[in-house]
Amino acid sequence: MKVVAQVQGTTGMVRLEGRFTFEGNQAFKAATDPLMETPGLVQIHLDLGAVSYMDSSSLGMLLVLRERAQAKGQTILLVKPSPCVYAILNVVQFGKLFQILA
Amino acid sequence: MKVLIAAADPVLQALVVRLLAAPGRELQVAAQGLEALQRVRDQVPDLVITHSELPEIDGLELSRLIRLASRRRIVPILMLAPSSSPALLRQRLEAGILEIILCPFAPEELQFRVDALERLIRLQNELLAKQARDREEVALVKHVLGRLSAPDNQPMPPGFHMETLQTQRINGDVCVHREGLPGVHFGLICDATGHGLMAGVSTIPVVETFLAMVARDLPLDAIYREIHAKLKHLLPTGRFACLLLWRLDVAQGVLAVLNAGMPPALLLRRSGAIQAFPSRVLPAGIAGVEAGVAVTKTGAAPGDRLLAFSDGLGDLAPAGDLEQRFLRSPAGTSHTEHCQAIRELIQRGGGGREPLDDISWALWEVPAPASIALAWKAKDAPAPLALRAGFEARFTLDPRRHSPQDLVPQVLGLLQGSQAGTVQGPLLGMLLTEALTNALDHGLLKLDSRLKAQGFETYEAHRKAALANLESGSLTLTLTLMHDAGAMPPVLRRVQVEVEDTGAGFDWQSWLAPAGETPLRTFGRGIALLAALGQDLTFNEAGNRVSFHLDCP
Repeated sequence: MKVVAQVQGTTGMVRLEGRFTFEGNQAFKAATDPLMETPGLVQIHLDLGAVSYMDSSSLGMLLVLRERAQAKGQTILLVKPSPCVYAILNVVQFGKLFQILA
Repeated sequence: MKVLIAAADPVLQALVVRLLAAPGRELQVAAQGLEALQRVRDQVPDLVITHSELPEIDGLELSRLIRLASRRRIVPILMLAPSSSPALLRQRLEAGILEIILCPFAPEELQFRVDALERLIRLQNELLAKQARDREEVALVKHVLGRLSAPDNQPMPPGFHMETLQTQRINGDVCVHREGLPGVHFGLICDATGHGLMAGVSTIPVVETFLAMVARDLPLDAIYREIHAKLKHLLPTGRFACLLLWRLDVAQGVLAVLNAGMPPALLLRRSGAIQAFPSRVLPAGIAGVEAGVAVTKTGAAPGDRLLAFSDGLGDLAPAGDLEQRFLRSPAGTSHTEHCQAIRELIQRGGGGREPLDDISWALWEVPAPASIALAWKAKDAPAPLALRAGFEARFTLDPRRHSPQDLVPQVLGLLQGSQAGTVQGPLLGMLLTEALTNALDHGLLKLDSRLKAQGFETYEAHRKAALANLESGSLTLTLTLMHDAGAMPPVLRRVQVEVEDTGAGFDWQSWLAPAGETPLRTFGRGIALLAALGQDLTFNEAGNRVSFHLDCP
């Protein structure tokens, strides 16, 4: 999985590409950890438009990120999930935990 | 590190030995090619250093044969050669040689290259050790998941089928069927986050909680809440379990489904209509979220089939597509044919490759209610037995420290291996739990079972409060194993059970179901179970001692 993160003003933009599974754990952490420490950041957008598949481990990574972001006063938005990923998020009811921007 | 040095020239042998001698290195020397090969076959070394020219078989052939002889691991080979060319280099690399040093060589070069190879070997050994640990871990998880799925190896009733197809890695799927009260069947498909041991560990509290609570016929939302609370307490953030829980009451013709993060379960009615039960609840164990719990109830008639599956199927084919193919399974086929069709669909969906996720699925056909009436049949008068008492065991339980659910597995464990444990174990376990729970709830805690009409959670809340306020009191369980009077060796024929509490007793007669009324009502079911499945249920006058027995077939 490819992960690219950048900061635009008060928003951290993270774009994920490929299969988002346990194997992507290191790349995901490496990209999102610095955002937790970025002063003034209030939102993190996870762009899931190019993610072809997610498994339960990656859902767990989202929960960990959410908890850490909450502790920093940041919110997480899941942006443009592909239809396949949206179906997975819908099945596990993650709309109750995250704001999802289709 | 074991190093094999293959060189015919004694001077070269001695030079290499001198240069490489170091603590932790075990050096072996072979002067001929076949001798070197035999040493490899006897014990695979960590590194081979060979001269290109050896008697019998040369260094190149030796390298090829070593590669064949040690298929399961790479044995690095360093060749000392007087000359080289691009063609020779290619041949040597293809034969598995990692390093080539041209002779004559500087002593430091050999030492540096062997040091570098040694680091590579260390990494390889660590990797091999990790693979061995992983294999052991997978075997352990498979064993645990297998035992969780079929804790007592009870076969499922005809028309019920559940299975989990595990990937090589194991992804935390498990499915369980359990009959609670007669004719009331509970199903669970659990998909825990993660892989391997972590996934297996996450699954254990789910299944154990499920089994303990369905034995008491607690409602699905209460079961979910308990599992959720346990996982939230036990697991770190990011670990959770998707659950599909269902309860099929055959006598009442009611199916209840709770879907927490699983693909929709489907009720395929005989009429051709399909009812879906989509996920409406967050998976269990997600910290910081007090989930609302939605249970969907519907009527289910004999011949209707409940189809449930985990998300592993979604990986094989687009969910909608696969669902359609399942639904197109031939109407009017038998349950067995339907199961076979689903299996074939899964195999074809995988296209011969291993699926990325575990796949669990269940197909239950609602049986006719008449099939459970047998469970409540009037008991035939048993033939008189000439028995003698054998082993007797007495257990005293302080309910402020331990629950009946703590004691019963210990008792059954003691009986394991005896006929009482193997033949009557599950039934005995259920009846002991009921008798002890009845003595605790009504004898010591003085709870009114009619509270259950206000919901099991209300009852549980009263129960917890009463237990917290209990100042004294105990339960005593006495088991007597009785044998055929004349048989040698002794043959176990009967387990006699007596449960006594230190309370003042309770009006047990008012709890028995009136003649002609089904015992499957909201309260009094514990005693009804004892009366129906135990033999010669007898209370003492005060109502603080009950006895019954089970005959062994």
